[in-house]
Amino acid sequence: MLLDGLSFDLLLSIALIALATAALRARDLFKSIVIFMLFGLLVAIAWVRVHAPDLALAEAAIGSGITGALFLGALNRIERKRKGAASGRLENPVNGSTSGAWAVLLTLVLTGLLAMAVLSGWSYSGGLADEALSRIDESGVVNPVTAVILNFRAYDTLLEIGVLLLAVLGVYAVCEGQTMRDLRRRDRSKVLETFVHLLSPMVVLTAGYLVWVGYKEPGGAFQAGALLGGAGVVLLLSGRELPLHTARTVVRIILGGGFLVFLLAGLLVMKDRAFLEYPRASAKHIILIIELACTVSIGAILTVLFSGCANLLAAPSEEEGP
Amino acid sequence: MSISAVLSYLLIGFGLVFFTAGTVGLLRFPDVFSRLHALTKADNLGLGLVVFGAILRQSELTVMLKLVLIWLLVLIASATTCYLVAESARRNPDVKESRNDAA
Amino acid sequence: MSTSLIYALTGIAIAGLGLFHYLSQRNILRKVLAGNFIGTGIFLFLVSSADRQADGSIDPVPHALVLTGIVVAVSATALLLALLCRYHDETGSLTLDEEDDE
Repeated sequence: MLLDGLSFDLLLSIALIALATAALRARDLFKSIVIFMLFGLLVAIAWVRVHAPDLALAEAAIGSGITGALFLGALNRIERKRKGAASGRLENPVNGSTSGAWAVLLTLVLTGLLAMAVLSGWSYSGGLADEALSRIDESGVVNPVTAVILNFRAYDTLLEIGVLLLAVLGVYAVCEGQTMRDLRRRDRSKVLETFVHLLSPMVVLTAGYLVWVGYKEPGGAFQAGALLGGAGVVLLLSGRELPLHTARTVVRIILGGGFLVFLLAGLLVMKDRAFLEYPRASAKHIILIIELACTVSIGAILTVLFSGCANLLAAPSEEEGP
Repeated sequence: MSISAVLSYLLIGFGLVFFTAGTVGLLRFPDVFSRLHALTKADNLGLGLVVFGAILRQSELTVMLKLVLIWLLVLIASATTCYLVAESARRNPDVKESRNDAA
Repeated sequence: MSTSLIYALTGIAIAGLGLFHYLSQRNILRKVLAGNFIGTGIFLFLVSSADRQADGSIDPVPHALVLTGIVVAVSATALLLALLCRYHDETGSLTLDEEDDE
């Protein structure tokens, strides 16, 4: 039957592969990045087709939006630096490559092996579905993905927020002593400012809604944090000055707060249980508190990551002090 | 099929026609401003038609209102980005135009 | 040929494309971009493998792993790009080649 979902999946898959090829082979780096962002949006549709709406939300916000902003910020910074030497967009001949033959061989072997493994037995019903889904009531939430992230595999999530913090520390270290680009140009756009003024409260509201609704529907801390990060990026780009450097104590509290709350929650329940084993009665409330703290932290972390890549991160001037 | 199902198919179909028109404009028009014009006008109208077609298939009022809200937000965002792109193109007319082919 | 099988094979193809370009491009920005494609392809493969239960339910554990994976991928990309920008500020080059080229 030509009109069922399978033909849509085939079309979408062909589009995804075509976009990936176009992004990787384009001569113009700007074009590559824009096609990459488009690819991210189509992957979000693919997530919906494999019944993963949480991932669709995260991919659209983080995978397409924030990553695209990171790339564009870095590209802009590199091009500005090069403006003295040469003008125009950065290009790189796609066949200016090092390893030709063995790269092709390695890729073909690996993908061939994976594809053979997939095709030789795909209808396997195992995994952890039964165990996870049957114990949902113990977890304190209804959405299975939230239950797994914040209760059954909470240790992974705690360490993953730690990884985010490590990346932020790395970005601070790398951007030490850089002169910040001044976005307070005289030709700052009133339209952008009004747009940001209008949209920031709505973004905060939607982020709060996403955290709240993650209890029983797709949502949760990461998606909400990504929204806040996107709002932070747009605020920075419209010229608003945000406190971003760790010399300010409030920045340290916001950035580290999520990890700290998570860690404390895990430790405080340890009176007669294991680390991060929430008591069944209060699991829902503990998870909500952790999610709220992590949302704010993730939003701030993503904003700082963007500002590091786009050269908007600078140490405060001397009169402010450490 | 009920009348609302037929109507929703018609609306979504017209929306797709507008999206196609906007995409053809993006590919075939010669410069940034005409492409922006085609994109923002045709795509937003197409989105509105698709949203209204989707609304006819819903049963809860809150979901219908959310869909309309999504359309309004996309309208605002798309108008703002159109303005910003046009402003940037007006300010830097010497930026190399990228080619339309996939090379 | 089910939905999940199509996306699993697509994910493998995208990861393969990303791997080839990661190995063969010299420009580090393009390497990071290709690395993102590898990540997205593998995530597609992982999540498709969670969708093949006999009764239509999904296995939420790979969803959780990939959700954290997406966030870790963006933080790794950010750190790599910040390093690249700093490297470019210091040396003016975008590749790691020994000889003097751009």
